[in-house]
Amino acid sequence: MTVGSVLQVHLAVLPILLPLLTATLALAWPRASRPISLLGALAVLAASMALVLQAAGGVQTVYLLGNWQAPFGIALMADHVSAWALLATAWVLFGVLVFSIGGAQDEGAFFHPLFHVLWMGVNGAFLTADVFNLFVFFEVMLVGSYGLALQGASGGAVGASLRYVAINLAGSALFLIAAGVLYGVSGTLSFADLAVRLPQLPAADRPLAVAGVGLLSVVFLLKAAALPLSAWLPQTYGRIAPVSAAAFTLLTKLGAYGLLRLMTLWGGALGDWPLAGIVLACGAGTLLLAGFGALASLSLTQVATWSVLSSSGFLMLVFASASPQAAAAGLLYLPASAVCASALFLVADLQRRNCLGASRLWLLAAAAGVAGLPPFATFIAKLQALDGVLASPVLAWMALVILLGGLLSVVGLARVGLRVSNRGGKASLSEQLALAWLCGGALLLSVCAGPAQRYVSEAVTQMATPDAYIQAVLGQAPMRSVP
Amino acid sequence: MTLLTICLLPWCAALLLARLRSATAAFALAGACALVVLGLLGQMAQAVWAGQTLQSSVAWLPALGVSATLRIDALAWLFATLVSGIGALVILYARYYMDGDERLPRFFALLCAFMGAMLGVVLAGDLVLLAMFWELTSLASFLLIAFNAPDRGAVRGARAALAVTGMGGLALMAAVVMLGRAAGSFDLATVLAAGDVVRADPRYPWILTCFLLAVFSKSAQFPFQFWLARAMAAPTPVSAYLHSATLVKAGIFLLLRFYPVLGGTDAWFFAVSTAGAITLLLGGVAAVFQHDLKGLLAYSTVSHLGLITLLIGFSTPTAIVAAVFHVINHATFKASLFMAAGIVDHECGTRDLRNVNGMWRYMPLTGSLAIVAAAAMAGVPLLNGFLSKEMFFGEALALEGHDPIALLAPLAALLAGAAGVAYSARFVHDVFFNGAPINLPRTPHEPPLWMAAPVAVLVLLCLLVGLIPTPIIGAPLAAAAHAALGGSLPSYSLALWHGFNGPLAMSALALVSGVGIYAVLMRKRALHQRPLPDPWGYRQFERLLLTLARSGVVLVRQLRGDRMRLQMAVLALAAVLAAGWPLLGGGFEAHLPELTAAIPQGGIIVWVVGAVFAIAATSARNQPVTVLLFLGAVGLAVALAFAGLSAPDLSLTQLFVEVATVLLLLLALQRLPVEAPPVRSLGKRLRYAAIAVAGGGGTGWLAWEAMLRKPPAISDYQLANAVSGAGGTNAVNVIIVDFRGFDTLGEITVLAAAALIVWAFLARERAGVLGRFQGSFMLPTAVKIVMPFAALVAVHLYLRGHNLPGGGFVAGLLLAIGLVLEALALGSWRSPHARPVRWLAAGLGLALLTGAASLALGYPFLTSAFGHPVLPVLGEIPLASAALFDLGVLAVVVGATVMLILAFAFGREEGKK
Amino acid sequence: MPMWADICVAVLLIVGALAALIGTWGMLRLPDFMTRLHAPTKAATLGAGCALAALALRFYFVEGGSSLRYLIPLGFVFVTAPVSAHMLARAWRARHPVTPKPDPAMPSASP
Repeated sequence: MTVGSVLQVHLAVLPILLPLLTATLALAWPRASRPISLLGALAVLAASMALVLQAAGGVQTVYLLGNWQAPFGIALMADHVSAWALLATAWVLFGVLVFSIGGAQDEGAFFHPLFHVLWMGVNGAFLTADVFNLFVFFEVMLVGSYGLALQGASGGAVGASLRYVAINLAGSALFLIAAGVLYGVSGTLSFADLAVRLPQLPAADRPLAVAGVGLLSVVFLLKAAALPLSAWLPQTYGRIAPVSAAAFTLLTKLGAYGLLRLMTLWGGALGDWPLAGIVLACGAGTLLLAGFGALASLSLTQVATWSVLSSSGFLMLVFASASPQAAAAGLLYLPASAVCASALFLVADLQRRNCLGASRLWLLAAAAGVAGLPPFATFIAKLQALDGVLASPVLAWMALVILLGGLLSVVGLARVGLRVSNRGGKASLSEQLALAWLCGGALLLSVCAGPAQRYVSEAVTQMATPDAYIQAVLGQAPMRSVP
Repeated sequence: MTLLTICLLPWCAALLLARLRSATAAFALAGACALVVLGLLGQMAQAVWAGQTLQSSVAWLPALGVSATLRIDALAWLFATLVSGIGALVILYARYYMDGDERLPRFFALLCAFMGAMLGVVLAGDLVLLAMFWELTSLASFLLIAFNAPDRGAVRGARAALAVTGMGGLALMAAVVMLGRAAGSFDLATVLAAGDVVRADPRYPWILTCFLLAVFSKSAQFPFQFWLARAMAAPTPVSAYLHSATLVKAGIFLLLRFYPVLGGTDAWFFAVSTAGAITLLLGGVAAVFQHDLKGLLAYSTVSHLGLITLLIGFSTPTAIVAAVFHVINHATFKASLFMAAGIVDHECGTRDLRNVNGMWRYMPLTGSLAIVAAAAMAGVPLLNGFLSKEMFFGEALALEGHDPIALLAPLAALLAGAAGVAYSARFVHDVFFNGAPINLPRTPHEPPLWMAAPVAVLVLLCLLVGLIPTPIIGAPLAAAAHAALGGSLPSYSLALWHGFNGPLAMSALALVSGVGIYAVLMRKRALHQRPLPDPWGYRQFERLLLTLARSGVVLVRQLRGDRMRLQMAVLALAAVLAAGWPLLGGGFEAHLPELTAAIPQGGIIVWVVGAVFAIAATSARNQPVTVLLFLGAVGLAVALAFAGLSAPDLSLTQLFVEVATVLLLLLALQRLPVEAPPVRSLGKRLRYAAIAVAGGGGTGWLAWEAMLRKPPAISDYQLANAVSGAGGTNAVNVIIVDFRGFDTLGEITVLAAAALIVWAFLARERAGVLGRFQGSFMLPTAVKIVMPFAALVAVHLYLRGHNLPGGGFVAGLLLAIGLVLEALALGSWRSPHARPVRWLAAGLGLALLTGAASLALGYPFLTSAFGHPVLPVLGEIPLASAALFDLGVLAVVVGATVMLILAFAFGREEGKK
Repeated sequence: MPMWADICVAVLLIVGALAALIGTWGMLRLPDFMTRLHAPTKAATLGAGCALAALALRFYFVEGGSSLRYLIPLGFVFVTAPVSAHMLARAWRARHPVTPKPDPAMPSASP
């Protein structure tokens, strides 16, 4: 029973436990919170990478918490998509953490514990295979984000953060109602079990189940800031500290991820209710709205906010399209856009503190990555999405939306970027390293695009066959004895 | 390998240059880079001219069928030589043009980056790689034009350039994707061989449209010609390099490259010819009326690009040869003209043609070079421009079919020729002659020798090609044209004299009429009186951009992120639609309440009381304390309902939470405004009321329907296995700490974090606000009496939680309230037992440890164990490891509740620090 | 359960409920804060006390064994209710300090 074997067996739950441990230790020893936080972040990064490697080997890791068999207990599922999303989260949050420490922006009260609570929530939401557990981790993530939003906030930022809290509380209430309806109608909370039971419901109960799924998708659409529920995102991300906004770029991706799972796992149960069509329309609208917003932006923070919205719209568009090529492109786009948008927020922070002077290269890199220009992986992802979408004439209109939205964003970015002056001091070494880490991630993805594309294609194939997921989760037997 | 070096060297140089400080070192590095590339290309010359195609490939995106292939044939070789050759000359020129500018290393870095991108476009052997480098050239061009930002001209020019070429880049992406699909592969060689397949594909019109959008935007063809004039805000070396010789030729390169695949159809003929012809005439006429020296040259570039486009549009083999020839010629004379214009600008301090006159006196050397180059541009015999113009006139005359284009072509060619002569004459006359200079900021003189050297080299080339074309340019031209045609090379002649034929007549006519037009226009300097012409199309572009931006602002404002009520209403409406649509859509039978079933009377009373208080709460909405008390009563009703429905644990929890929440809210209410902002209009109130009723009523109905279904649920298993699997008779507690303990772990994290946030936000002061409680001794005494009992009861509730109603959460609340009371009695939060953060950390740590203990034993996280150990005094007690987890929950609840309440009670006041 | 115990339980419950009702009525209708303060304290102690006593009695007779646990909350109520009433009175007095009015029957100090 070596430490190594323990780690390997329990790898799936580590990305959730390690941040919690880090947060607890940082709470108990506040003087040492920086090194504790950094070490914890490194550990989570390593665990996420290990999970990706494990998933790439074709394994769908199911972890039964409390050793209770699903659906009676809670199960975690680390398959291709979850592991990929975990790695993206780890990459972004690690960079943001290094930046905050480097710029001494982590001196707010309880910054490190709340940061890791956010991390824990996001990881948990990606890994879980249970509806109520998803709700719990949404709450964890939200409360972490409330904390980060309120860091060093004053005046308008406080109001914006409180409005963010309010709208998310409403969303959480809706989530609970949806979970309640789904449980009431089917008697189970596990994704896999619901996927089995929902199609088997008597016809009289089917509309109720659809209502529950519909409510759940409204929650995810809110989280992804889809039109018409987009209002909260610009007003929040535009007013809080840019460093906090940089950590939030992944939170909208959670909504898109949730919709993807919903559509792939429970698509059969929905019958002819056009969830995919609604998501498609919302995604297209969001993408175009974000383009116009970018065009109307006057500052780097604003344009970065609209780029987050634009990437969210793009993800919804490609995930809801029936093209596997486009969905794979979306999965490739997810980490690349998150990383570049975070970098852009961090650059905006540097500009706000007048430290941007010599580091305009980062502005260029982040803006190019966000705009979908080569050599960053966002370009490849957009190209692949176009390839998938233009293959069938029905979906061809989506190409126009994607290109138009992209053009508007590029022009908006150029307008704002031209206004950034090159005066100001220098950014510290850690801050530059953090920016290099983030932009380098997008570049790395571009260089290693071959293996990455293979991985995401496998992920899409996996998602297209929900039976494997269901079998893996429901078939996992509890551990009988010490291995 | 050589190909890879050629492609990568400029990028490496660019990265190094970005770090350099010294101008000389930068110049040396940049120049060396260009020369090395040129040298490597020279090495390949013989092989490539012989018709070979060299290729090197690396697998990159197998999922898309894309590989990073570099491919060089004669056409690519020609363009690559142009890029690197003129690049080397421009670098030398820039060294002196921007002498003393400390940004020189950065400038060279951008130039090298552009060179790399352009070489990539030219050498790309894969469609995706081509699109990628195309975008990079747009980006590099944008950065170079914006080099003088925040100068207004530079900003507007860069913006226009990026918008137009960016749009083109996106169109190219679409074209590439569709082309790849139609041809079956992204590999260039495969695509080039699949011409017939592509032309027969139903997507061909779309492919052509997107492709031409990209080409026309990059090469400033109609209707995108306006950005080139705006781009003249860039430093002159940039204009000489990008906007005359290389970047704008990228579109032409693409036309030539894909001619075997996309060309030869009627659509190609009409689209390309029309655009080319319009641009040719438009640019030519506009150039005559420009007052800006560089503007004149810009529009003449546009016109010449239109000429080349028109030739490619003619789609005959000889026309293609003429097009390739003119590419070379135009690059040479235009680059030299721009550099000469830059010299004039550098020396005089202004570019205005009305002010710059009689420069021949001050800089005869530059003048003679410029005059020769301008003559080449006009098509004067014995220079290279004459030869390609002749070929152009010949093609226009020889065009067959496709009436009326065939009839109009010679006329258009003549007009364009005349215009060309006119503006060349203007350039020569208005700059170097035409009287004395007016109001020059500086006294001009000859530039440094090395600054004029690049101009001289290019002018020499113009002369040589014009005099002895075949030895100089014959072989590469033939090879390049052969590669462009993708088929057999037609017969043509580069001789200077073809006899008295149509083209010669047209040339002569154009020369005479051009000079005549200019003379007429310049009579009494009438030309100078004309107001500054607006770059055609630019105004529309700016207006479009402004409209889009304004609509963006309007849209954004419509979102009203600040109006919470509206956002909540939209969310509620979305939820109502999402749930209501399936339910009302049909196939659903609503269950009506069956009044025959026996409902306990106590239940009805509780329900009625709760409903009354809930409604009363909404009506008393302007008195927050009253609302709070009513909601407390509703909570009490709910607790009673729980008790009646045989859920004592929930009832207990509800009661305690009610107490804690009311306490918390009362404390928080001190800081809140009393009244909510009123909603004035009746329409709005009705709308909100409708949404609220639909939402609330709908939720109630959903709850009703959901609760009526009784499917086999996981709770059955949990009830059945609570004792045997988890060792506890209180199934609710077992579910909370065992079956779904992971949820509880998450929830205590949420609680802890929420408390931390509130504490951090409110509790800014370090000292307790109230001193020790003054006056009455009753409260402290009572507290001292009651506290131990409260703690005892809390411990009792905790210990029995696993088997009887109770548990860590309830015990924690009780303990917390007691601690708060103690803190209030003692008057500050320095009460010895209330160190909330420690409680939080301890609680979370304990919960983690309990879960981790099972990890160490090889079981998944939070696996519980239980047993019935026999203890000496207490006898046999049921003990479960989940009790430790429950202890963690208790600690977190204590810490969080104490923190929350004390933060509100003793936190800083609003507005005070 | 013997008859007298039943009657006792019923009487105690009714008295307790009446006490609560009267206390609430008093809280709504009495004019002044200080007078109003008397009402809920009576409702709490008397009402809760009677109800708990009824409970204790009933469980003693129905289940047998010690039913002392039902009287423990009563002890708590007896300790905390007066204290809270006291604190309320003090809080009100702190907000509305009263200067003593000169008694017309006593000789005044000033000439």
